[in-house]
Amino acid sequence: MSTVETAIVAEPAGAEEPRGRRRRSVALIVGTSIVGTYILAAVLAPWLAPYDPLAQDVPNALAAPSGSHPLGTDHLGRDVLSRLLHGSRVDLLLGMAAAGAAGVLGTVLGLVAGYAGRSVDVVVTRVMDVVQALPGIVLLLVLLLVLGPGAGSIIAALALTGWVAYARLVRASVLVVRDQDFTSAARLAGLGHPRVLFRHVLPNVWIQGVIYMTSDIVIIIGAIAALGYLGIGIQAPTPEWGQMIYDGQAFLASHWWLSAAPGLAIVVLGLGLALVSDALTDRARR
Amino acid sequence: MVSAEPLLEVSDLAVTLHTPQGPLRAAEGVSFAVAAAEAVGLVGESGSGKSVAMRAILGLLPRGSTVSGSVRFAGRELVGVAERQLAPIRGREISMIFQDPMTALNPIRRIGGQIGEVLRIQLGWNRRRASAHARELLARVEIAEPDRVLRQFPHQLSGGMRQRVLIAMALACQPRLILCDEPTTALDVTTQDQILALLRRASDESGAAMIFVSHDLAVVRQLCSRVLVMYAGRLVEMGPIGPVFADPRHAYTAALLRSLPAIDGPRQPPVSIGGELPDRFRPPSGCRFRTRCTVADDSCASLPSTLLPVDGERGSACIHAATGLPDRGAESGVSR
Repeated sequence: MSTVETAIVAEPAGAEEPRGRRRRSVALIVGTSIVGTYILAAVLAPWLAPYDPLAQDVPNALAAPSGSHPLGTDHLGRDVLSRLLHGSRVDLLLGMAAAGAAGVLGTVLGLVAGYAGRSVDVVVTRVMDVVQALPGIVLLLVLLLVLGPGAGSIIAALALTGWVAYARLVRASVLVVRDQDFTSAARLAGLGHPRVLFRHVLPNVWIQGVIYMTSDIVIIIGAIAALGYLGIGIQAPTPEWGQMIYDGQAFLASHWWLSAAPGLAIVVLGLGLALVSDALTDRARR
Repeated sequence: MVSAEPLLEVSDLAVTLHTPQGPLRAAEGVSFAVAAAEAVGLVGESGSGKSVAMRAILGLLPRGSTVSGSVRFAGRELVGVAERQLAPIRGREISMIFQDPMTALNPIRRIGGQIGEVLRIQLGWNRRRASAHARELLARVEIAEPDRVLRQFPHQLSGGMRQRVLIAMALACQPRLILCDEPTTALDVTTQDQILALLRRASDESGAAMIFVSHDLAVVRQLCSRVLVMYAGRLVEMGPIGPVFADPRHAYTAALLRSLPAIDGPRQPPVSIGGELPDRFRPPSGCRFRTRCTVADDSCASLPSTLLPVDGERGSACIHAATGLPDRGAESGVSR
């Protein structure tokens, strides 16, 4: 959150050393390579995975990493590498979809709250306070119980709990932009309020939401994994990283790689997205 | 007020802004008229309600503001009408040049797109025609390389250039009235002169009337034929430039003129106006200038807020207008 807020504060021109800039573009390159690798892995999973992620081979269960199974097999004899690759499809897609839904919902509500004036603003702001006052995971659990299991429910529940941050960011930016004269000038050009809002205000504020989204995807994938771990996320046997961590937990002492591999996958993806987010924040500041 | 039907007639305009401290009467009892092709100056200190009055004419006030009174433009009422009725007049027949060219252009859109938007929406032109005309407009406001500027973003232009772009946008639909809200305040003095010359020529060529809001009396004297003086939300004096400047009939106007260094005439040190603007949430009764005025007496506390006629075409809200004010420059106990 704090990295996003500093994006609004302008830095004096020329304060930046070329060296720092180079380091940041390195961060952008490393970050996008990591994220790009994940996306490629997700897209190419059916071709990259050596085995069917759902094929069981019980006699060969809990095999240690070897040439035929680089990451070993789980308690049902399924190939862990194949499940990890296929799991990236589920987690990345759900993460992006949920972050996207939360971002769109939050941006629209933030735009309206910031622009429409008092009464609407008060209502939206109070709703944001209420959502934020509840612990996120509890709200997620309740929503999932109401909506039932499934990918659609998970996206909806994550969007309904996650939009607040976007709405706050966008609303704050709108309050700054709204009173600049170019919005009045747009009115003089004959635009009504909705068109001023979407053609002149939105293009000036949406980047704030996008920057936050890059770090939000990590949090959301973490939440999806947590839901999988709690058993109310994506249901077995679909490969999903959180579920994989949970499944491996029972064998942690003897077969630690079962949980460590999906855990590491989440951590490295988080690192990659954080690097991209930082670099974008920096771009927006300049 | 030469012709029978003025282009713009503002009567008893009052604006209430809603601030965190409560409602604020930013302007009240404002009545004046502007004839076609006339240039009128509106002067006053910061916070005297000049800009608010201008924005009220176009309905461009912050949400939640209330406007009462009447603004008639070419026979049509502008106060209290629906947005839809206002839209064809706003920007097309009455346009506005804003004070701060840094914020009056959308920072992330190209200049060409912003000028073109006015033409496409107000006049329904297609992209090619709008873009060709935008180039012509930029040439008219003496931008040397219009083709390059059309492709640039606001941050690539200097303040003077941006103000030229804004003037071009204001002229785009050939308005009959241009409201200039301190268009040179944010510019340095040499740029200011060029912009003023440009504005004068633009209004001469197009025959548009102009209301020029400023706190700079010298600029108003250069540009306008008539002047309106505002203080603490009210009009206090109006009349033709020459007579008002030579022989002010309101204590505030007189004090304002005394605070300027005199270039022509006898050398006299400028005299500042003592005290400060009254608390706008609790203004004094009667004449609002009486708390700072050197000639105020008990009668000033109960005063009609309307202008009293002076010498036919002039008006003043000062009851001492007839009996005489201290001469310009006379240091009659005015604090420095």
